[in-house]
Amino acid sequence: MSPKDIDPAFSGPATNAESDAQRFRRTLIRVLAMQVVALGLLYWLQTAFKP
Amino acid sequence: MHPINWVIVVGWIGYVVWDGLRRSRGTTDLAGYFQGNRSLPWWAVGLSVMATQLSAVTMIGTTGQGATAGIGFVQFYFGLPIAMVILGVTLVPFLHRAKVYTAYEYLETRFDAKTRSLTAFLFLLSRGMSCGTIIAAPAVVFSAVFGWNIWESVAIIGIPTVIYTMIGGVKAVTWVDVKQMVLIVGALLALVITLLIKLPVSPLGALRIAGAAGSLQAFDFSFSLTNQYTFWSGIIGGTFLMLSYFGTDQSQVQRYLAAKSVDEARRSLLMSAYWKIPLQALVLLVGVLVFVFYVFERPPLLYNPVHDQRVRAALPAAHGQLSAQYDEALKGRANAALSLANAESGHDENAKAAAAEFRLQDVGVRAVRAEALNSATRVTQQNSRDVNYIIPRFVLDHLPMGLAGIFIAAILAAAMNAIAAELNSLATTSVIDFYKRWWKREGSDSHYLKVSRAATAFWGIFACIVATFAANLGSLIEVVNRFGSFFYGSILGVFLLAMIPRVRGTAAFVSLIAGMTVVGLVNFRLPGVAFLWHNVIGAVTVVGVGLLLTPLFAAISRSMSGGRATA
Repeated sequence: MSPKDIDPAFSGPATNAESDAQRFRRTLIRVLAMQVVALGLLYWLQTAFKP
Repeated sequence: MHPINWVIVVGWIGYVVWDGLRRSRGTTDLAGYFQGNRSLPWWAVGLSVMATQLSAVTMIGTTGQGATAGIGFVQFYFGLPIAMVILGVTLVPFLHRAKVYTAYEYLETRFDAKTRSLTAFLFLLSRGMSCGTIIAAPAVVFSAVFGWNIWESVAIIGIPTVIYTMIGGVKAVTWVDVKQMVLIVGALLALVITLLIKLPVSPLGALRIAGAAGSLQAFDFSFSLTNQYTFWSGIIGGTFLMLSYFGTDQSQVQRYLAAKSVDEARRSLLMSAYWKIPLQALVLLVGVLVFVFYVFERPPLLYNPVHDQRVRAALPAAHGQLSAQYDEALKGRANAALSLANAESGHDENAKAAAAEFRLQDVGVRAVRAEALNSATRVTQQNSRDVNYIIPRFVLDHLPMGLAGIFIAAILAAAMNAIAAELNSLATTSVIDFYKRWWKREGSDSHYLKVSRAATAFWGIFACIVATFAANLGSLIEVVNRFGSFFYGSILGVFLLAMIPRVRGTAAFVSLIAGMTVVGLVNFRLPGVAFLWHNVIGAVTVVGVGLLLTPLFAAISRSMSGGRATA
């Protein structure tokens, strides 16, 4: 088998473009929301107790 | 340490070894030994992924960093959630469905054997060395704190880990990780509660004191290439580092390849995306609270007891004078801290004046400490930085009986988790990418299982030997860490090139070497550039060079095949 016959990784067996994209968006929003809360808390700590 | 604490530590080590061995039942082939027959639930894999990153260095070094420099280190992890989401929809499903044992196996399918072998070799080189330093860091601290020989410390950490990893394989590693994570998080939470109870001020007062000392500065928005930890290096450099670490480092890839399905593998990684920053903030918060505790309780002049004894013996007069200055400065700082904590509001004039006085006194305390550390360097001719000793000293001197044993067991657990994952992945790469690929392609399951266990034992012994030398040559730890940063970005670059259909093996191989060369040059010529940026530089160089070389190699290939046709 030559390299030309082989699909690159990300169009390989993982491809289910539509559901992957939807899942990515949903997950990204959830993870970002969690991080916004965590980073917001850290930022509040920094500004509320600023030296 | 009280005998009850030792019973807890020894009991825990015995329990995890027994549990690990119990998990080895039914493991008869490579799929069982290296992938747990892909039967592990997502939450166990997720906890194992988190446990692998949480080494003893985190428990003693990061908490110590929190005590001395505050929580700014948390920025290092800002890129992690982004990297996890990207990997969850790209590399994880591919590798899981490709039924590979190692990430490097895929590179042969996509490119060629030499690219696979080079990346696998780089992994063995950097991880083999770093595995030794993972043992060395806590071993050095335990030796100084408990008066053990370095060999004894290395053996106490290394031998139980090698036993359960060698016999039980990935199943033992994962299930032991789950229990160890529960112990570690429980011990950290218990420490926070104990500290809050022991502090003579309210939690709000403690935060005011920490804030006045600058310990709550989590964000540095300056765009500086030389500051190790900034918001931008964390978001950009950190994303590249985490993509590389979780996407291409076998010690991580192996964890999620053991999950039951692609979806479970993704969910296991997302557990880190959700919880890594809060967990790291908790670790740093422990350090910050220990700092506040030592504002009111006299801290040691030197946290490393061996250095303290040697300075006291070699320079008794200077040590006495420094101690007196230290006591005076501590007294002034404690008074200012009490005024600040008891102020009605954190923003009124009294509080501002108390905060300014506290900062002034804190500078005095730090100056005396710096002088004592310089004396230790002169007397011992060793690096006297004692950040790693702050938490162990606090635990042994101030925690109640039982809790001290639990926390020491948690430090050991963290060391064992990280080492077990490394040994398991080093053995997998040695057997799959080298032994099975180059020496014995066809063999029985029992033969490969024996070879895999022998490989785990070999890497365990190798790591213990490296740990002993690394412990005696303190700077070696830093050298090894920098050495590892040469590869990460470049290896990520090769996996990124794999996404581009027209790139072929030789271009990828040459690009990988080019990427490491550029990172090496940056490291030596521009040593001020923070190491998180090395990952970006390595990955971008490999992709850039790969794209430039692809048409060139294609043209050469065409002309050679054309030449042959003409001939």
